[in-house]
Amino acid sequence: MKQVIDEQLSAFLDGELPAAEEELLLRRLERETDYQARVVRYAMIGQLIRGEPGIGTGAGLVQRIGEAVADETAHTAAPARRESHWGAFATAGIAAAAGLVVLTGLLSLGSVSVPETPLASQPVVPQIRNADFQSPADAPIEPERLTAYLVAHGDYAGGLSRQVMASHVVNGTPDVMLASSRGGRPGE
Amino acid sequence: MPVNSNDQVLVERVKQGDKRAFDLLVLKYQHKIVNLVMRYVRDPSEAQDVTQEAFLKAYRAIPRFRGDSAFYTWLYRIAINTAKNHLVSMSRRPIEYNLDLQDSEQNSISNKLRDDDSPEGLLLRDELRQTMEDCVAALPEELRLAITLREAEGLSYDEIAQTMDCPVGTVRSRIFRAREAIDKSIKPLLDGQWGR
Repeated sequence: MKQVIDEQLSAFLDGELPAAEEELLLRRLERETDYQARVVRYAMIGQLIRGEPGIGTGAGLVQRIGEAVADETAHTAAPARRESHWGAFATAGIAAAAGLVVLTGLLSLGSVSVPETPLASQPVVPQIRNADFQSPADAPIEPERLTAYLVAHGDYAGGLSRQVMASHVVNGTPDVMLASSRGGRPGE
Repeated sequence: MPVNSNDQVLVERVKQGDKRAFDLLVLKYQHKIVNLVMRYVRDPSEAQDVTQEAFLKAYRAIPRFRGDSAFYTWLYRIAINTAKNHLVSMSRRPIEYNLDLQDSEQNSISNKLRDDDSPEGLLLRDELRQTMEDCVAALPEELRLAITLREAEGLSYDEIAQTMDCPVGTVRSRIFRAREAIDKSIKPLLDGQWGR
């Protein structure tokens, strides 16, 4: 029986094995590494007869390609996870947090002034302000400049983060802020 | 080239995420692809890299392979394009001396044989060639002719059958017996190198 299979392996290497036999042989090859090694040795014999350089590369090549394919699969699986609901949510959260930090920095450094507008009167910014910074709280904010900044940041940080952050500012003061300033809950 | 139904089965399995099916396709076609690539890239080590890249490209593209042509025909085109692109990129790239630590740590026969400059590799290759030549010379005439027509001349089984005036089944058997004899003669050298 073994001799029959070995003869099939020889014909398989030459591409001369009938399809019906090849189907069975492929199943064996999948299970038996000895058979795979034999195919590689038969191929090496051909290289020896032809006097080709690079003899004996067969076994290593199958392994290398297998590893490369495994790496490929691992890399393509990773983005799929990143695109999940939780991944997008986390990304949006990080972008929003980063935006707030930058905003705080801008306000603290006095690069923008605090305007006498409903937005400036909200307590949310002073609450997250770093106490070590001396903020010109009485300086006026330029709403157009702040809006332009947030839109630009949203473009940079991604569509979802823009939706989370900029819509609150561009479209008006968020319900959450208004509610907290009034001491009530959103939607009241 | 006619569409091979077994290849199609393997391709469908790969599409469903079965990497072992792709291993079988690699095992089946790697030698043909290496030989093809070596028409463009003479250096064996480079030819291996290009072959690996070609198979990787095929793996990436296999979900889009519709089976309009034979898998090998499709793979053949990918390999040719990869080899041509490699030549173009090499002509633009400065020569690099790249040490592959992982390879240098491996003690496999493949690496020893691949390394043309290694004394060990040269010695082993010479020994293998000499042993193979002695064995082929000692083969019965019909086996020697069959294996030579196949491996050196690249004739198909049909063509060998016509040349030797015998059935195709006999050709298949003769080529196998010749390979078996040579394999037995060189295996001790390979096993010795592997330390088994």
